[in-house]
Amino acid sequence: MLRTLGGGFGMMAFAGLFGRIARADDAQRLLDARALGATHVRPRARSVIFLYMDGGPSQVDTFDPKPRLDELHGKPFPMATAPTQFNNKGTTLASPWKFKRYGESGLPISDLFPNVAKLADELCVVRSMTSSFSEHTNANYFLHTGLGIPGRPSMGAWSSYGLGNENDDLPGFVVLEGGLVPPGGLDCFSAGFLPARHQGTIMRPTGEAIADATLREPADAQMRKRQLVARLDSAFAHDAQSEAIESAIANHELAYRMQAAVPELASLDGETDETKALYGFDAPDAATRIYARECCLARRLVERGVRFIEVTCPRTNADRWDQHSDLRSGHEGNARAVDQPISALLIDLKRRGLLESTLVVFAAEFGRTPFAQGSDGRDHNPFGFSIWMAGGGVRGGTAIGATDEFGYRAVEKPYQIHDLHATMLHLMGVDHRRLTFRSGGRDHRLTDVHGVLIEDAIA
Amino acid sequence: MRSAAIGMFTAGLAAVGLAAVGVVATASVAGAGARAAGIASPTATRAAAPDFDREIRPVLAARCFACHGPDAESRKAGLRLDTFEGATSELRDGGRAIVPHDAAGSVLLARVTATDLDDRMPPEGHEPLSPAEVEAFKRWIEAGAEFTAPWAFRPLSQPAVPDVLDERWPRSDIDRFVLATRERAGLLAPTADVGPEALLRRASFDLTGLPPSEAEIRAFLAEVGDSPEGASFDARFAAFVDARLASPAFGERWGRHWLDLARYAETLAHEFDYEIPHAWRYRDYVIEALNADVPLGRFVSEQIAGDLLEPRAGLGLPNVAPIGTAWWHLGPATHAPVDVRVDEADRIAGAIDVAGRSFLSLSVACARCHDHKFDPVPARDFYALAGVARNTRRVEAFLESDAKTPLLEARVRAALEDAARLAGVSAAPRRALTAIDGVEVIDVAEHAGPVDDGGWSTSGSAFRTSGAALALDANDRLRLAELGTIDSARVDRRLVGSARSPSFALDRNFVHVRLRGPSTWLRLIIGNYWLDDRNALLFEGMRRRTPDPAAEEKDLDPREWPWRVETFDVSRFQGERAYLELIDDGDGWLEVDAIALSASTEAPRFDVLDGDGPAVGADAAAFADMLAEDGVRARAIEARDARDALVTQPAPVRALVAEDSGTLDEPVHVRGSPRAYGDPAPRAQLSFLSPSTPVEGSGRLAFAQTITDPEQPYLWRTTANRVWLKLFGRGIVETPDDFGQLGAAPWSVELLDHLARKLARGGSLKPLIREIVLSRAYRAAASDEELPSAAWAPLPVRRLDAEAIRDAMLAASGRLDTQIGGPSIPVHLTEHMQGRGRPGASGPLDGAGRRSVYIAVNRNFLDPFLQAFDQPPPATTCGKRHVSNVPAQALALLNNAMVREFARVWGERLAGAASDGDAARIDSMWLSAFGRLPRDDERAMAGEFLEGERRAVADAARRDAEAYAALAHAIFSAKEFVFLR
Repeated sequence: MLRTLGGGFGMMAFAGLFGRIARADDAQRLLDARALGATHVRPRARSVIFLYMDGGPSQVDTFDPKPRLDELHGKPFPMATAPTQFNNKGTTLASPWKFKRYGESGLPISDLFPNVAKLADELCVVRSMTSSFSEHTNANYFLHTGLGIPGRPSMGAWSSYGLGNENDDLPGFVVLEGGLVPPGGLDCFSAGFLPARHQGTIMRPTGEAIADATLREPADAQMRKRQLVARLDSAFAHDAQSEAIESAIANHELAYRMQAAVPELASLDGETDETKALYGFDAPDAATRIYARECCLARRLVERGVRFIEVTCPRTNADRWDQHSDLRSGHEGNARAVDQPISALLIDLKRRGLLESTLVVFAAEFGRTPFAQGSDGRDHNPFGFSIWMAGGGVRGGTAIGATDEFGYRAVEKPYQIHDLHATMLHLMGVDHRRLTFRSGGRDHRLTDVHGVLIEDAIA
Repeated sequence: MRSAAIGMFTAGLAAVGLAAVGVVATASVAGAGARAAGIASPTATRAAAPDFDREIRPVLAARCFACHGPDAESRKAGLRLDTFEGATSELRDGGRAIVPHDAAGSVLLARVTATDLDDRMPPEGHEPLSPAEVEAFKRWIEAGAEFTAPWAFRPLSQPAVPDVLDERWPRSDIDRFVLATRERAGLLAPTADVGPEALLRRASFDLTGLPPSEAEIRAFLAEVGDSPEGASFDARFAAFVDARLASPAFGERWGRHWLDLARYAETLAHEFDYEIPHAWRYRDYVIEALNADVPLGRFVSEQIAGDLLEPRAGLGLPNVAPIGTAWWHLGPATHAPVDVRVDEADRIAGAIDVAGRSFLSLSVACARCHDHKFDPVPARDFYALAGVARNTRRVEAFLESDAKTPLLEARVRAALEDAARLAGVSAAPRRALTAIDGVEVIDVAEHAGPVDDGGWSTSGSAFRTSGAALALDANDRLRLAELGTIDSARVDRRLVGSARSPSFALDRNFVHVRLRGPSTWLRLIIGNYWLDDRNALLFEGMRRRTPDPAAEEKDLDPREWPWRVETFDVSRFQGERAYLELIDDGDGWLEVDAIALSASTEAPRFDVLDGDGPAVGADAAAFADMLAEDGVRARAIEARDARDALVTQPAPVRALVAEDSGTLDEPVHVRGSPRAYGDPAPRAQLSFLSPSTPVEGSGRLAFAQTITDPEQPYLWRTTANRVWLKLFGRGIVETPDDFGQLGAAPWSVELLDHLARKLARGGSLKPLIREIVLSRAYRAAASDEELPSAAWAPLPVRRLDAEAIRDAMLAASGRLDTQIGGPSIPVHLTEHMQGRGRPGASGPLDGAGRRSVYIAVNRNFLDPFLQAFDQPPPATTCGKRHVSNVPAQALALLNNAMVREFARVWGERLAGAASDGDAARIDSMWLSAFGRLPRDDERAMAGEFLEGERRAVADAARRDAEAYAALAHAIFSAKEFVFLR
């Protein structure tokens, strides 16, 4: 892949080899670096907003209605099942929520998402997603990096690496951290073996958005220091011949610019009252208010050309979407936090003309079992669950694939997380097989040796 | 990380005759160009048998073991491919997977090359093996299909020091080992050594985490001149290294490395982030042990079983070893779990994970739910360790501060026993309470006494002095005491301590404790769950305070206090195990007579016990006469004197320790469920580590002795690798916490074993570190050369660790307070640090000038500056830190209030010192920050900068301080400040 690049990434190597003094314009070029000189296919989305549903919402309670569960409620679950993580298998558990059909497409959505449901015609639900892991941490690494162990580059890092960023003053991969860092920790947002500048930058929806990103002295005072540091660093870099130092210099340059860009970005004061109300800035539920700000910030990041934005969940009354017990109260709390803000995000992107160039993905590390854990919970289920996509290049108002009659296993068009990654990259114009990075003697990809496109999802 | 692009340019460079620094470009060295270009060199010759470790086992592990590996439960078709026997035995439907020397007759080869997807292995949905992999298998089978034990499971070898072609380069055996790996790979010795200033800075940070001081650098340079060659340089550098090794800062640096392994933290995370009491004492213990260069085996044994070893003095205590066992209790914990068994199992799994990774470099905890998929660790081994942990208690101990304390305890007790014997006090036979009401009694009498003999265990002096039939009263006279009780009032109410009963099964719904005495704590600990002292919820009422004495009770003789009964409802915890803990941590006292379990909330008839106790034989007057006899009086005076000495001993030190509680084996939990028991798993009996000693008590001692056995390779290899990694930034094995199948292979198992042997027989870290730091390899100039997979390469430029960056600012600015140890400095809280468990008060912005290792480690409120520079979250063992490179770091250096504060302090100090002018001060700053004098252009640059800054300051009196502060701040942002060459 790197063989085809233009002046971007190669410039770093070039500067490193010749020991050139890294001037500010070099640093600029480093930041412009993108591994791909051109996209492979027509890009449909410039940016991705990945709505990460921490803990695993239940497919049969959200986007995959299963009336058979009502019939068998309280009776032994009739299918052979794989061992669950908690080994506390109860009886068949009907969904406590009703499903209705919405929009022209008639896509069924449960009462947990009354606002998102109004945008049913924008959604492409994949009901046959599967994962390889039934434990959070492994499954999170898998969802984020394509491999179930820590240390690999996150999908956001791959996007930033492959396509660069359209804004020099902001990182290409931003994680809006609403209060819950996923199990597996910040490794989910790692650059892995990719250059570190592609690592996810943590941004918070309240207070100082990015820690220490506020200039704390007169601008001219900083400028004088900056000039001195640049001169000291260029001599050191020349002498030391290290990519780590070049990269640190580039990060310093980025930091200077972030000081200006971040406060402007993070201030939501300029949003109209109507917009604030749309997202739920004044919602009665505190978690909704946090997620509302996250979604609004996600739109602002898209407007500013940030390549990949991941949005994590706020704390609610329950432990993530991870309802091993008390499904009703826990799922209601989690859905309440995200439903209005997500619908507002879709509406807001659409009316600004941004939805067609923004891919919005709603996904978790796995789904939940259609049978109970204990009496009123659901255990982890990686064998068949629902995710949805909307926006750039996505065929809205569709449901793809199917689980069995109980919603336990994907039986029709089963897809893997790798296929989701391949499709996301494709919609950004990237052939997942051709975005590679050599490390440890082999070329790596986000999709490893896997990945087929979810063709039906592509408009 | 080098990109392929860099390699591609190398060829172009060679063509125009340029050599990139640090890259061997000499075409005459076979393979060097290819390696520098990042292209895997072709394997030796096509015909030779492939290296099983490198070419065969990794493929088997990655592609086959999930269904055909060590885990019997998930094994398909009864075929296992991790052993020769398994791979060559007859298959169910005929044939053999592998027929040695007969590739064509081996079913395995047919299956991996099958075109029919129904036949092909790995099955549909998985990638087929590559042609190269198939070819390697073919050659391996033709050569006999030899299985060798994975490298990490082989005994330590005694490799001969290798011969090398380039005799000019090596200084030591270590150098010969590393050069041999390069020569084998077709690489030359490194071309350059680092300069003296950079070498000092490198060694100083590596050994102490602090920069060399301005004076040290000047003195060193004056002595050795400019040339890093020759004997005088070597001797002077060795002296510098020795001084660093002898400095207390050594332990602060290497202690922090150990804390990374031990998942050290001072709070418990989860919802409220409760404090881990006395955790900092463990940190101090680690630092001091490393400074004292305690042999590695002893140090590790102390972590596991320090309470069971011969005493070792330290931290001003006669025996510091028990503090090591806080290691068991440093993990996170949640309050009030719904299922106490699951909670205990989770905490134990955390400790086993740390033990496996830290001491063995194996992911033992993977075997919690099933046999390990890749490594020879069956689930039984996990539960052999879980059994050890379940028989281990968490105790907030009272450790004696003075070696005389136990002697005085023995003296006072002996004097009272002698007095009782002389006075003719004898014990009446004890009646059995078990005979009535279906009550079961935990016999206090049977286990009472000062010796931890498997019954009650004690800590501190208070309960250790019970046992005799006579006691000292408030007026130093002898009085009768109960027999068969455990009591903290025998000699003096001021003594403090605790006592724990034997563990017992909760097989009835109520526990009754008959007791008397005021102002102490009584705890019923169920399932080793102890967090009810912070937040009880489901454990409400299991921890009780005995009331303070009423006015009329204050002067009562303890024996005149009426007995009363405390009853605990344990119906919710049937089937669990429990024990009673008595804690006398003040001026109160507590005496317990009996513990009984019954089905009824009503207390059993304890009064049947009242006929027990000491009998005086004659009437009270006769007894008084006996006490007045000379011999008895002499013993009373002896007891009083010993008591007086005891109560004026320095107060005991509180510390979190481990203590044995029983000998029950834990069976295998089927699929990890603590409610589904499988086969027995005898404590501490690990199948790949046969115990070298009989398993007694919890098995902690046997476990410690087994893993520190000089014949076992694990601890020595894993630690040698860790030392190398910390000194070179890259391990001999690049996955320091996993030497298993999914980990990396060493680039030189010979060097690893050579180093490990130095540790195996009583070795300690300092000599090993010294030898490595004095090697030629350590001096090699940093290089960005592509890291070869099977050879050593000079270390790349390294970024300083989080702690070293902050400490370097402290040192440069002059703010560093070198005080060693003590309670942690609370973390400075920012507005980004919110949530439950937020500490009540923020610590000082500058951390009181103390080194970073002394900043509190609150799991949910970690120091953001240290986190930004990759201090690891204390989740589990972290043998290799990330070295991230993100804008957050630059932003912290630019805007973080602490960084700005250190710059201010540095500026004030320079401005306040006697002035030698800008040039001298700039020289001083460069030496402090970069370990070298500035070049002329830098001196001029800095001078101009200072002038510019002065012009920007209106207040003439502040000009110097602010100008120097600005320069200091700029220096902190300079890359040379945070990178080591």
